[in-house]
Amino acid sequence: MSIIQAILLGVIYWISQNKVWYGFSNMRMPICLAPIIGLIFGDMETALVTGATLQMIYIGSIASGGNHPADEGIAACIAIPMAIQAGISPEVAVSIAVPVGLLGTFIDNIRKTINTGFVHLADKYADEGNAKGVRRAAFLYPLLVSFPLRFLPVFFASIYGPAAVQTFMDAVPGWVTHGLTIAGGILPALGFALTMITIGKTKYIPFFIIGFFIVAYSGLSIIGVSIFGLCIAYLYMTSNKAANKSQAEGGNL
Amino acid sequence: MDQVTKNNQEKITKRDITISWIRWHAYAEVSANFERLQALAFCASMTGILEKLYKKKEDLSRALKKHLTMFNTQANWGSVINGITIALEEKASQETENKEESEELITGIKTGLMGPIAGIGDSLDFGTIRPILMGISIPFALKGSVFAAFVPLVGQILYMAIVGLFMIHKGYSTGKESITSLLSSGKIQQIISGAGVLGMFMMGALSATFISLSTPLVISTEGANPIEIQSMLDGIVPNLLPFAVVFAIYLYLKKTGANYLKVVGIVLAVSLLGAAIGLF
Repeated sequence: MSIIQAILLGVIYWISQNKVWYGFSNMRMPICLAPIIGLIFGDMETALVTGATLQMIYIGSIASGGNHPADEGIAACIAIPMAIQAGISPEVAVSIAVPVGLLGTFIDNIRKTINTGFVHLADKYADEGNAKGVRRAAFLYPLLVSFPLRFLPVFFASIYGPAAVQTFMDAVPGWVTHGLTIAGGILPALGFALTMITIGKTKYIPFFIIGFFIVAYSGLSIIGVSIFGLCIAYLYMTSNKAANKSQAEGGNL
Repeated sequence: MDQVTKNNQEKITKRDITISWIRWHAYAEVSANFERLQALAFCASMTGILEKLYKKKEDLSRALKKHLTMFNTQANWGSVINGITIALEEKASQETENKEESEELITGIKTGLMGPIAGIGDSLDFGTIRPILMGISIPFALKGSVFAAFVPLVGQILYMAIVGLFMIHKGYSTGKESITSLLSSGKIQQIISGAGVLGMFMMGALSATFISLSTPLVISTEGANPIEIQSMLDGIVPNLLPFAVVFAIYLYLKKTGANYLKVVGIVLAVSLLGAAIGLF
């Protein structure tokens, strides 16, 4: 990996994780980072396959209360270049990157600790009635602090990572590689299970089973199966109207 | 109301509210911190409004401090709280008496709404809409479509701009009554239940498509053809192993709480072990 590629990757990771513009926060998802990383490393196909494979694990990744269970952005910035440069399969790259994604949450914890200082700074500005100062403390300073926090880990991982991984993959016996491939096939289940937890209602489980076996038996495409899903959801909503109404009148939120 | 009231106050315009939303949407998570979470972002998003309402330095300072207290919600649907707060601040700033009471009211409404709104926003945006957008894009991205890879990002930016802008203006124009009646009308609950059903259904469909696990195990019997376990399983129900895996993880998460780290560890350990003994 060239220095320029490592710098670009670090900057891209910072942009995807600096949290500016809430709707833009999807940028950190592997599927969104994949085409950009593919462009930097000149291998779009591998990038997209690895990004999409990794995405499945994080499909249900949700920051309840603002705490992320994993850093999918750093996982993407590690896995995709690795798959392109070390020439390992997407499944194996994903299995190696997921533990890194867990370590990545430390970066966010450091950021939130440092940001506490800016709240106290804002207290001071508020005392002075300095609205501009409050805005600076809310935006500019945290943004500047997050740059080294995000840039440096990815920059160094990009420079030393792929070679280290290649040495590792050459050294380990075949069953380890095979095991990592297996894990890459299983890990998406974690993403789907987490989404089920987020949705939260045990009584919806039959809909999961219907969706699963429609595909398992028919091999229907995802667009095809969405049509069935939309209709089922609509039927459920309309048939439950009365029940929901009486519940609301009972004062339940 | 006159353009300038007796307090030398300027009128809040639609443009001010939109600017407030732009600031909120841009700042929401940038200054997130362990002590007061989104408080700083909320206060900063209100600065333009407060500067217009409070012309005296000490009043402005007081108002800014009021909005630096702990705040945390889901930033998209949470825009409605910003809208309501703007309406309440406008009213409070015109009062000359009962200042403390109206301040308490504003803080009370903010903290009262942030939890329920976060619940709605999280389950709709991240529990359903994003997984579905991702689910539709992933198969095409796997086939090499750059366009599909950008769909979740562009889709979310547009969706959140529409919802957020609508919610902040709605919050301002109708105040707190509208949101409490909306929350208890059952309409939101109905939308969430429909979204939950669709989300659950799509997770099932995606699980069947993308979880891969099979076993090469073969039972060899003397004098007869060896029995392949995998084709035997396929004969009973297709994709039985992926189904078992996703349910096992779901039940484990449900029992122990969302412990990501542990599940990743277990999956890696089981996969490596299974590969070593030839189970997978």
